[in-house]
Amino acid sequence: MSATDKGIEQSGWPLAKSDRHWTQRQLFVVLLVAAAATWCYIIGEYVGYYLNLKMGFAAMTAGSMIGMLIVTLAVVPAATRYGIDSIASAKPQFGDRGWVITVFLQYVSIIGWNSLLLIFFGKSVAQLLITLGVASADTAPMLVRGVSAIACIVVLLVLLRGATGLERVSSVLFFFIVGIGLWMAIILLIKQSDAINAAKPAYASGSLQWDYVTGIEIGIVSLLSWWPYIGAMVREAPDAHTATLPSMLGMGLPVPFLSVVGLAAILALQVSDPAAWLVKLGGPTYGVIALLFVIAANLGTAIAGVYATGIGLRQVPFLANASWLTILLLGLVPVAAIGVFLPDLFFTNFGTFLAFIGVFFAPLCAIQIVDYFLLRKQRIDIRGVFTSGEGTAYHYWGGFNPAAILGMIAGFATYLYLLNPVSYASHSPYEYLTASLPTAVVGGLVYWIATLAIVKPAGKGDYR
Amino acid sequence: MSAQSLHPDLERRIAELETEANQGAGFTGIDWMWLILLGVVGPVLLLIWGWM
Repeated sequence: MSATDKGIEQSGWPLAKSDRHWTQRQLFVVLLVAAAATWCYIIGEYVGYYLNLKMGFAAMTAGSMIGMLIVTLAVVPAATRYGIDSIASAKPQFGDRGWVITVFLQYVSIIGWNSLLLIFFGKSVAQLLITLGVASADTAPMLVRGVSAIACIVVLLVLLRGATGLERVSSVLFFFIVGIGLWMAIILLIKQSDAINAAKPAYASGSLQWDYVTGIEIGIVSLLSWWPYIGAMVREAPDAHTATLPSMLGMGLPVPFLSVVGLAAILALQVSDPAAWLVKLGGPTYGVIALLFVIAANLGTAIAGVYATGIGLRQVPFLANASWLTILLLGLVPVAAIGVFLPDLFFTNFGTFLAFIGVFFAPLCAIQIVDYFLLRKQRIDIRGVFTSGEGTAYHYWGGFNPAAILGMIAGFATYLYLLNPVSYASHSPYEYLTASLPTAVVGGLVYWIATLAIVKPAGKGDYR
Repeated sequence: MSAQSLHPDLERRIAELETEANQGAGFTGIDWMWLILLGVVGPVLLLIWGWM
């Protein structure tokens, strides 16, 4: 694709300051719409297994804001200084070939989450149609497949307009998401307050401290998963100041605020999906409202996710000149295939894989923070980000930076020791420190030591 | 992508961004205050409230 003025927002090239027009309000709306999705109810549901409403809300919100701070510090400074996305911002740390690790994490993570969201969306539509008597239970599998495919087509049509399409659709979806989200929270908290107060968390461990830390950990690790998304959007802001509050409040706060709906629902009604509990509370009319919310929330996130993946894929050399349509199809065809051919298999099993993928974002963020703020003094070689090969700034050894690989391995091992992300079996000092925070510290520390001991003395990586 | 074969528009953008005046500014003091308030102080206060 030629990066004309019209097409630059569909390219992975750096946006010049004159290309970056998004205001704080625009960025806030886009980031909020990207963050609000059905996964909030799943996050709330998990926290509700261990904690009551007050402790769950406090732990989840605190964890979310800590996670958002880490992602913001990792991506926003470089993305807004040079107009680059999350993937390009990781090249100085991972090397001109090693950055494929981050592309893999982004691609798998976003494709996986988009598939889950659209299948969830399809299931909600099917359930509603069955509730309304429009469809019978035996047609549900076909409905899930059909609705998933239609949702992919809608995402494609919106994103053919690039970031402009994303921004315009977000500004419409914003009102649905905020309005219905608030309404659902009020309905639930007023109508079910007695049940919520009387509820006992189903899987409380017996140690309130462990349960509380687990609530914090769920918040942190959930928000760290914003790493692949945020860069493609904040790069549209002219500076870090414009992106700071939208990032912290627009992307950080909606997750715990919507998750509290899932938390309250699982405590009071033993089900977190609003398409199910709203029908229980108010009949089919409430169900339709819930469906509107699921449509708005999941569609907005899927659009933002596919856009971020597209910008990330642009960094792959043989895709740099591919048409925008081809790029979008690379992000959507796997989602459509999963939604149409194996929704149930994927829905049942892929969560485990995503849990493991999510573990990598803590050390990844820490490596970027240590590198950008401590080792490079907030400057990178922008030419080095877009060139490769012997003699370029970030070639390291064969294109890979061993410090980043060591940091990622050390972080991953630390997390797995502290907490199994699937079974939630833990080892001390998890109950005091969470798993993500020590993982970030270890990953960043190993990177820092390896850079000072190996990389810098060898004259690699353009450190000054 | 090699340094020798950069698209002219990409080359122009890189050259522009290599000048500090054309780069986006980093976090200001106010931004750091918000980051600390929302990402550290706020969570600590929330956790204390939740535990009480």
